[in-house]
Amino acid sequence: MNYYETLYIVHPALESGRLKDIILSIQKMIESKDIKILSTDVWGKKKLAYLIDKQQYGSYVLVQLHSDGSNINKINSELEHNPDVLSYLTSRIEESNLIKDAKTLDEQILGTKASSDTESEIDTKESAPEEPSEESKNEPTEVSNESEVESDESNKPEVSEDDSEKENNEELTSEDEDGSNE
Amino acid sequence: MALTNNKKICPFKEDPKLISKINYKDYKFLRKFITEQGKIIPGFVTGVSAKYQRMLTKEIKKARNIALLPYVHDPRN
Repeated sequence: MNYYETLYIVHPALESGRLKDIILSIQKMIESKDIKILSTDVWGKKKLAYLIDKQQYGSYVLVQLHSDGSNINKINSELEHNPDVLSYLTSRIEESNLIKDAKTLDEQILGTKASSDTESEIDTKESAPEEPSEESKNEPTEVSNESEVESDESNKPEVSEDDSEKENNEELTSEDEDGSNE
Repeated sequence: MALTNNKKICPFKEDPKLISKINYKDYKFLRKFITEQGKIIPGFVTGVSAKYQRMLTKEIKKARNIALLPYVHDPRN
């Protein structure tokens, strides 16, 4: 018996409001193949690195499984033909990588909703954390959304620039040393 | 003499705690090892040893498959 995990992306347009139903139907499908579900982790709505089916966003869901491995391919073919799922990835994991204290589905879905779309949930936001709600009250919601996107995009070049700068500096110093030694 | 100073130390051998971060789910960490365009930076540039570079490339390719990292990215856009 081995441990596996499947990460799949739920279609954003089909998902609206019924993410829990889709997750539960996929869980039922997995359990019908005699595979035990250990935990489910909802990552929430994220920007995709590239377009899939012309979609820019998608909700990531991670499922950890316990199986002897003979039925794993059947899950993949089911997910392949599921119109709600944009993409999926199944991989084998070690026992040490399992998620131990997982929250319930409801808590996770509500938490991700409160953090991702602040516009619709301002009135009913009692269980949500305090910091984002204060921000959303002070600023118009559209601006906050734009800033999130910008920060996401600006992260990439910063990291790579840092790396390249370091490398350049190192190369420069080594060249200088070369020159001085000669 | 000068060549010895040029030698880079593998970040994973320096700090073994980082090895557990080589995982496609930790795609923000993996961004350190790809260029702005999305290419995997070779080990001789970053100093990563061959063992961990093999692990890195596998996980980066997994992350690309599930759209956590780009296959190609045009920095002009």
